[in-house]
Amino acid sequence: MIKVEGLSFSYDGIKDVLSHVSFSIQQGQYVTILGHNGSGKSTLAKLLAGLLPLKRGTIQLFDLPLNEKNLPLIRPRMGIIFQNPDNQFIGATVADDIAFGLENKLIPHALMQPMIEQVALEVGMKSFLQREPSSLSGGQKQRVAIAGILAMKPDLIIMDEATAMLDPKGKREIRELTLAMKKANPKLTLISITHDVEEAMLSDEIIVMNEGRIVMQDQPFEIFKNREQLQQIELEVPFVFRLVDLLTEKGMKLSQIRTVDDLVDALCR
Amino acid sequence: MPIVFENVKHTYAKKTPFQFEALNGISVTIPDHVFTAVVGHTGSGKTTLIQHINALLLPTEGKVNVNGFVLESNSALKKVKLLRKDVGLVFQFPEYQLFEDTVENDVAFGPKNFGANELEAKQAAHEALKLVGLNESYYARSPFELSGGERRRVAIAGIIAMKPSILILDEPTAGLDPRGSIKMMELFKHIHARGTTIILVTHDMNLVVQYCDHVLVMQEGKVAIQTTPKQLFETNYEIYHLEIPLIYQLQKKLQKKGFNISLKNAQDLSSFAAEIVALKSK
Repeated sequence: MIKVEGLSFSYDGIKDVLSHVSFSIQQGQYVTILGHNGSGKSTLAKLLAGLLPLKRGTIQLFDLPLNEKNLPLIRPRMGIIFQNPDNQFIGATVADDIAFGLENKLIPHALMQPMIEQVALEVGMKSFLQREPSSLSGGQKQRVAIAGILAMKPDLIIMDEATAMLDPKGKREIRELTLAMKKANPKLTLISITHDVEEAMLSDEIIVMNEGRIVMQDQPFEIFKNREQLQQIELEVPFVFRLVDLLTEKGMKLSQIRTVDDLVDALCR
Repeated sequence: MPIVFENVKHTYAKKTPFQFEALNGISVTIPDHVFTAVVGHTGSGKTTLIQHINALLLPTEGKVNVNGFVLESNSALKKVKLLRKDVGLVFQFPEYQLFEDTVENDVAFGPKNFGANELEAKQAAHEALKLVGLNESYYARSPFELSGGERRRVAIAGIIAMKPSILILDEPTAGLDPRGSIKMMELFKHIHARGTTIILVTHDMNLVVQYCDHVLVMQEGKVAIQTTPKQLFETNYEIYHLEIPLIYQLQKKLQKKGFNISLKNAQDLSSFAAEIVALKSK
């Protein structure tokens, strides 16, 4: 579904921010791209979305090579959520904002209305349709941005640090919505770029990036097994694994702990 | 000297349809030399509260006592210039406020503004930059070619260069990656250890548990409670709808299943682990 091969990119022609990146993602997967600021995550997302020109390497999306000719076929099938909720609100009301994409697609007004209501319901913003963006919280604005994308019925959604600027409540809302979207549409592919390791634990697969390269791609539990490698690139390990390491160090025997609940069970046995 | 709020109210856009009471009768004492956290939901009044400490906002009613300055609704702002030197306020995303051509000039701007001569200002800038972990190689660089984390350090150095006795930080780790956040918090811990009073506005309860000695919980423009982080999360934190730090989440789950572990070691995960091992081997 997504196939990237030998992808390199440089903004200034001198330093590569991405070098020889290759990976593939199956349809319906929820994949987290994890890495520090400056590891190349966002550049990768922009290249996938066709927002930066492809110079070296190839990207295939929906079995089509990403190029100028195919971009009009690929773009309508994907949506991106950016970090700052204020930078992506364009409508005067929530309903207007959601309608923007549909209007671009020349959907007749009569058809548009039920579509808007449907997606607003899906993101839990139905009672806010006539509200102005300034009266919404950060989490609500991001939900509206997601609704606008869902209205286009995309096959792929890329979230570029969509929760980074939100408060804990907003973060939780978006996390729950992400899981709900996956449940509602198992064919939807989700790529989430984040440095929140607790959030990464929820995904099907994690791609770890460091200094423009992919250093690991695996299921979350397998990724976080490689503590030494993660430590080398100074990447944080989720709380539960940090504690398991300390307990093991102090002589406790624990195996197959994947969640806090697993740990609680093991300790209370 | 502690910071004392006496029945402080603050109303935005008074006598307009947008009138909004952001602070609703606050009486609180923020102790000296302590690392204090201010927590609460978005819109609870945290930022409005801290902006009163360096007279960026004046109370609509009541008064604030800071380092001998008494701030009231009719205080003359000219008189509070010295207060602003003594109370450093780092806004959210302070890296957007850099403007000079070099890092050195940007950091030296504050001291110069408060009357230091060229040499003194540069010296203060160098000291502050060293403190935030930026060496000489940064002096002549443009702040705009640095990474986000580095730019934020420059902005913080600009405040530290004025040698404030109170440092107020509004969400200083927002948007930083975990490695950057830890480095930033260690920096504040170090500054605190040198005797500076630190007031940290944050949503991250894990930071509150790890770094702060004192916590104010804001709710609808009032201070709902002030206590220690330990007390807060051991007792009735639920009524404040705060996120629970990960270590407390675990402790509560264990407790439910009859595994009683204290939280005296909540600040240090390693000692917490040692306590679990000791309890288990009994």
